[in-house]
Amino acid sequence: MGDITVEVGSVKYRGTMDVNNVISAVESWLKDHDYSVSETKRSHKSDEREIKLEADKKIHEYVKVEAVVELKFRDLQDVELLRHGQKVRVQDGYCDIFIEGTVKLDPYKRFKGSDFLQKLGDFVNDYILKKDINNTWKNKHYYELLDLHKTVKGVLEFETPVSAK
Amino acid sequence: MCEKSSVVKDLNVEFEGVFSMKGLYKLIDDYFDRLGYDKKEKKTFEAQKKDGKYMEIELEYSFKLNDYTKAIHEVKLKGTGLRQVDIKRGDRKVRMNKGKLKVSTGAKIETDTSSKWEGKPVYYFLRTLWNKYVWSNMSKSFEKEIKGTANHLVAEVKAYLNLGKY
Repeated sequence: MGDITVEVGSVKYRGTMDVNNVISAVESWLKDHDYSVSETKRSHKSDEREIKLEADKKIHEYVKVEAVVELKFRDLQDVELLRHGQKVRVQDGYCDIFIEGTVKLDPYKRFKGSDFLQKLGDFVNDYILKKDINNTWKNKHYYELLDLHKTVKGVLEFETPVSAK
Repeated sequence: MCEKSSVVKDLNVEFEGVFSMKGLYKLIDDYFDRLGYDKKEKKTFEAQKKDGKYMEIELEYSFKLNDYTKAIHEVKLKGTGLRQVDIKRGDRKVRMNKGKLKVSTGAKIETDTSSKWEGKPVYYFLRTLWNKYVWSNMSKSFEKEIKGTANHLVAEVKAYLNLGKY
């Protein structure tokens, strides 16, 4: 059992939005949830913006969780809107946000190096920690990232920024 | 590969009028959460159009019935021409949506979820025997349960939209 991928899904939107606000909302969500964030990609063309954020968090010595968030904006045009009597400059265009997570087991490779250690590691993952891996860490990470999904929907003023969990 | 068989196909509810999309989404989410289902939001799309908002949401709820079987419910929400309206309820204003809505649900049953019975030809053969002589009887009770869950959801959605009483 190696890394476990947690697919959360994507959010697609067409309309007016504050691009900087969306990016900072994702960044601050990750920081507020104790992730160390690194920006691995940032491109800014005339009407396109693309940002990739990679974040990780140590759960304990044997488990680390990672999150990858890709934000793609295209066909952006600056527009001015009246909000509560004030002029606000926002962008009109398309937005695609992809969220994916990974549960990394044995991130410090303590069960690597020899065949015996490798087999011992497999035994630990497949028999001793199997329920913890699937029922605790994987699910917990998934529902944590689902909260990010919900936050993104809230920032983009979706009709359904709610969830039972 | 696990095997999937459809239990309920395309139970549709169509509605036009004033409703709360947020409330409806929460109703569906809470319903499956109460039953202990896992959630996956497969598609989330919204677009602002001239005639109002267009939105599409595809939700998948799954529940492990046992080590061999999983129940999967798919719910699709499609809203067109949605506009925000404020309705007065007593002394306070409530934000609602006005427009067209379509809710489609379907359910299927997934067997051999971890693909354990496909590693060798003999396993595959055993699975075929199992499915034909043992599983076919067992699956009826699961199918009944899944159908009940899907029908109850549709009834709840209808009741929420004031379309019918159950």
